[in-house]
This record gives sequence, C-alpha cells and structure tokens, in this order.
Amino acid sequence: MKTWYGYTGRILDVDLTSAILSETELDPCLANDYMGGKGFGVKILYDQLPPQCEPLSADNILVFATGPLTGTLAPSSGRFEVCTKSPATGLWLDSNCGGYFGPELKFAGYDMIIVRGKAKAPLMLVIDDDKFELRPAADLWGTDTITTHRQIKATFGKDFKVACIGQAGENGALIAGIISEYRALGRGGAGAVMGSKNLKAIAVRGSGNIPIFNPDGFMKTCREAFNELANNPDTGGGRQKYGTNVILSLMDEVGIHPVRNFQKGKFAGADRVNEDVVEEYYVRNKACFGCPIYCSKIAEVKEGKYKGSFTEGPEYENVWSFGANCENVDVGAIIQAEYLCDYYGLDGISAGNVIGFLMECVEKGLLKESDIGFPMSFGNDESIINAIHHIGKGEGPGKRWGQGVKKLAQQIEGAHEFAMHVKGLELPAYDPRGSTGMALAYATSDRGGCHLRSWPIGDELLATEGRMDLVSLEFKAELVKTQQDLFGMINCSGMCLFATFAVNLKQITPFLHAVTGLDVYSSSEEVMKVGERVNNLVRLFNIREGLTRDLDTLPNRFFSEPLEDGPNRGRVVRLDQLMDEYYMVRGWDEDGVPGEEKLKELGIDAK
Amino acid sequence: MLKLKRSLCTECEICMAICSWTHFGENTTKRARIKIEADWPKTPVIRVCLACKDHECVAACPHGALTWENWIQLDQDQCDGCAVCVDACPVQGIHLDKRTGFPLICDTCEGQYRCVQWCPTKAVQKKE
Repeated sequence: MKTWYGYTGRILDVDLTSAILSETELDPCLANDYMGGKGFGVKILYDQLPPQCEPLSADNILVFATGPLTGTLAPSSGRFEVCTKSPATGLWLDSNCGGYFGPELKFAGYDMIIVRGKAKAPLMLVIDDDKFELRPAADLWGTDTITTHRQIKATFGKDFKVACIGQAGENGALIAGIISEYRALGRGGAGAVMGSKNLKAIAVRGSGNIPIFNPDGFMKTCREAFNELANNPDTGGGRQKYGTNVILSLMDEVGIHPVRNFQKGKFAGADRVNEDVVEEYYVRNKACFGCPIYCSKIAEVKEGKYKGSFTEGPEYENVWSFGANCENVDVGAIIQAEYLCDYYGLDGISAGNVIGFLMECVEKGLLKESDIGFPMSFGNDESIINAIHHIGKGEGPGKRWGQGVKKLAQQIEGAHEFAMHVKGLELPAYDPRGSTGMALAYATSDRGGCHLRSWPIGDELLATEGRMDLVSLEFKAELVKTQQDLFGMINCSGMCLFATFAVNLKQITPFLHAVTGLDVYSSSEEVMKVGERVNNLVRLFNIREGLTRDLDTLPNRFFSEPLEDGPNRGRVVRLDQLMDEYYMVRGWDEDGVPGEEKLKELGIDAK
Repeated sequence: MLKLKRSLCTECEICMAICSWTHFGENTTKRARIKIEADWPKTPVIRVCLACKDHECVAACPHGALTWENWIQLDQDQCDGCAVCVDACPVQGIHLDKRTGFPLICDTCEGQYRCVQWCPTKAVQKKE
C-alpha cells in the first residue's frame, strides 16, 4: 500500500439504498490533479453522477471531502467541503465549513465520505476510527440540529463531531443547509439533498495522526504563517475584534450594502446596526479548529424583546440579510433569526432574501397579508422571526417559501423583476451596481449568487496596494478569474479563505509540499493550476446540466433600476463587455464553453 | 507551571495540536496533555495538570510510577495504565493516551511551554 502524507489515503463509500459500506483507496491521480475538497468532489460528480439526475432523488451523490491541510497545524485548516448537485440551481454545488468535523474525519482515517442512494427509513452514519456503521435515526427525525448534536454526543460520547440536518432539510426546503458543530454548510440546498436520502446525521471520532512529509519545513512555514496572520491588520486586528462584521460600516459608506431587497444602497438604520453595536452583544470569541483569527463570536441578547437569545455569530451576511435587507434595526431579532436558521438547518443568506422578497411582494400588492398569514413588511422584526418558523417547520405557505426566491417568483406574477438570485441561488450582501467586480463575480459564480468564488471587493476597496477603481471595467475580468482560481484551490486545500488575507500563495505552496510531499505541489504555478482545472471541470459539469451563457447574468433590477441614493446613485450594471472579456481570459468561447486548447493545457479529458 | 484564563479560550485546539506534535511528532489533538472540553455555547473548560502542591496523583499511584521533579514524572516501567491517577487528580488534568494506555501529564515541555507560545489568545499562560 502507498504511504500517504497529508492524506489518509482512504475513502468511505456509503450506499444508503443497499446499506453497504466499503472502504476504498485514494487514487494518487486524484491527489495530484485535484488536490482535495472541492476538487475531489467535482472529479467524482463529473465522472459518476448520471447527467440530468434529479437532485432530490436517490441518484444524486453527496461528497464530504477534506483537503490535505485539513486537521494539520497549518493555520485555519479546519475546513471541509460538501459537494453535490444543487436542488436550488440544478447545477454544481459545493459548500465549505469550518468547525471540527473535517479534522476529526482525518483523525479517524478518511479523506472523504461518498454518500449514495436513499435509505428506506431515517439513518445516521457513525464512524469511530476504523469502525463504521449505519444506525436507525427515527428518534432524531423531526428534531432541530442543536438537540440532534446534543443527543448524539450524549449517546456516543462528547468527543464525537457531528454534521446533521434539521427539520428544513427533512422537509425538502431548497434553502436548507447542513449544520456541523453549530456552523453551517448553508448554501444551495445540501440539507435538502441529505434529507432526501433519509440521512439525518454523520457522527465521527478519530484518534489517529496525519503524517507530515517534511516536519521541519512544515513547522518553519507554520511559524511564518502564524506570524503573518497575527501581524495583519485584518486577521490579527479587525476580524478578531468584530468578526466578519468588521466591514459593515465601510460597505454602507461606499453604498454597496443592499437595503430593502436591493431597492436602495444606503441603510437609514446604519447607526443602529453596525459593527460597534453588534460587538456589544459578543460574549466571547470562538474559533474553528487550528485558527488564530477567531472570527466567530458567541453573542447573547441581554435585554429587550429578544432577551435570552444567543447564537454563534451573528456574522456579516446574516446581519445584512435580516438587517438592512429587511430594513430591520433590532440586533436582538437578527441574533434570534440566525439562531433559528441554525436550529432548523436553514441558510441565513437565502432565508433573509426570501423574507425581503416577500416583504416587497406585499409592499407592491402582489401578495396580500392573507396570503402570508401574519403581518409582513419592511422594518418589522416579527415578520422575520415568524417567517423563519414557518419555513423551518414547512408550515402552511412556509413550505413554498422554503423553495427559495427563484421558484417563488415563478408563482407570483410580476415578481420576476425583483427576484434577487443568480441561477436560483439568492444573493449575498454586496450591491453589484457599486462594484463591477462583484457584478462579474455573481454572474460567473459556479453555484449561482455567491460572494465566495471570488471577492473582488477586497481588491477594489480594501487592498493596501494596487487598489482598483470600484466601478471601472478595467482588469476586472482578470481579477475575477485569478481570484476564482485561487479560491477554488483554497477550497481544495482545507485552509480557510480568510487566511489568504495574510498568507499568500508563496506560503501556501510550501505548506502543500511539506505536508504532502507530492512533487506537483512544489510549484506555485502548478498549485494555481489545480484551481483553474477544478473551475473548468465544474464549468463542464454545469454545461452538461444545462448551463448556457444567458444564465451567466444578474437579476433584472441591476440593469434596469439605477440606485436612487448613496454614492452609487444613478448607477446600473453593464455586463456584456465584461462577460466577453471574462470568457476570453478564461480561454472559453463566446458561449462560455471551455475551448479544447484550454482543456488540453489543464489535462482535462472531457468525455 | 501553567495558569489558565478559560474566558479567553476560543476552542481552536492549537494547544492540543502543538502538545501532541511536541511530544510525539504527530499531527493530531488526541495525544495531548492539555485538553479543551467544549460545551457549546458555554465557555469551555481547559483540563491540564496545574502542578498542585499536594501532588495527589503521586500519592494515589499504587505502583509508585509517579514522582515530582520540576513536574510530574512518569516511570513507564512501573505504570500498568490503571488510571488511578486520572481519578485522583483534583482538576481532571490527567488524560490517558489511547494509543499506549499511559497517563499524559503536562511536563511544561521541559520548560519550553509550547502551548503557551502557540495559544493565540493567552488563555494558557506560564505561572511565574
């Protein structure tokens, strides 16, 4: 058997239909060409998923994949990926999560778990080092994620790490995520896929070691990287103090923080919902495995209507989605809303979008309050809390709301114009009318409306050198392409995207080589090529599932409604030229199909 | 010796990882002499030998395998992994090595205090 470094070299393959569990060996080509995480996921799904399969059928595959750095002492390397075909977009989905599940899976001796088929009755998968079994989970079905975590730890041992779904995933809400150690793999409906397979939870415990190829080189790079992170003003300063909310005021100041379901670019409540106000709710700092940034916080509401509410967070995206997006200024309600999303297993960005969308439907008279069942208006905190309960439980119209903005808009005449999603995934907290980079990032993101495939706003607004103009088109195609390839590679590695604010490619490469010993990772060019290879294979996957150029676009609002207020007053998005440039930079044809030359260069064999 | 400020602990487990690495050259958290006991969302508890004056583990060991010299020292030849020391420790600061069965007790990295050096928040400190 091959000696592996960084990798465990073993895969757990779970067929829920036959209840057969088997251990297979990791293919060295997979490690060399696709590194881990998202890369493992796309190679497996591209090769093995039946084209055009129904995402919520037994045919879909759910991959839980770590990277070579996951669980190592390399800073901020507690991440793992879930990859599947999204029921929200009908396209590619990968979702990334920190916490402790990924490292524990490695300690147990597995690089990844591949879940196939569908169980007849609710099951959970329990992995304890090299022992694994499927167990009945009927008693957990119908239970929220927080109780599920506690129950599993009480039954099997408190050192088990858990990934599970809540009622939302069981009910097939397309905005349902998977919750792992109280953090979320939120986006794109992975929770619904897990629910459709009757898989309630995975619990894992491991006692093993992840062998490192070059221990001395690894420790040297670790020390350097930890120093970089500590000395960086973001990762060693603002992000530690405020968490991800560190950019709230700045985004509002530059008019990019969307308000009222993207109707406005300036939040009247910014003095009541900003990083300093949110910070007052923080009780303590919280980190994922191996991370010195501790951007996570435990927050608690000490007084007022939501007294007693708490959450791990609230993080920037949810402070926006339940704050400015719904014009809500009650931070207590935001904390309660985020808690409830975790509790039911819902994605906070999509849930906040659905609620903002419903508020606008009522405001425009397209829905009546009797359609909703309770008051639903911008600024009303109780509308938000009520709606989350309905979606989470799949109660009454909540069942429909849980299908997400795209499907909702198809049922409401005239709502298409302000359905704020790309390809079926609801948008996050940046208005692309104020950032051409974000416009292109959203339009070309492989999983739909997402800010984590590339985050050009960083270079447009926050870079200390070489800062770019926010609304210029110049070099944005190159920027987005390069970032997508970098982020794509990071999501293969097991490291957190936030670490890349301080740790650059020149340090990540020595990490990958010292950990794995694979020759291919001795060169930064080859490391970046993994990101590009992964993104191109995802593109081929998406094209096979029906993606065409006309879906690489944005909601109509951004083209037809100029912002009325803030620094971006009068601006709309111009996308055509950017798209042409982007495809060209990518080596794709004018329809967005990867060219033969590009595929050959990347060594992709497109069958 | 160590002193702890658990309110500063973020549960990153870097102390556990560097402890296992230092003593065994292994990249794992599972062979650490220090242990973060999480109880989300509550503040975690840090379990490690605090070098108490009474040395109750030394007194409790039925095999005379433990002695005090700068820190608690283990004579592996005398130890049969009975874990009486684990129960005797007043701060639950002794853990059993799942691999070998021997107790894991903080030796301050023989004065190097690696966990103190690596803790990002000073939740683990050196007692002067």
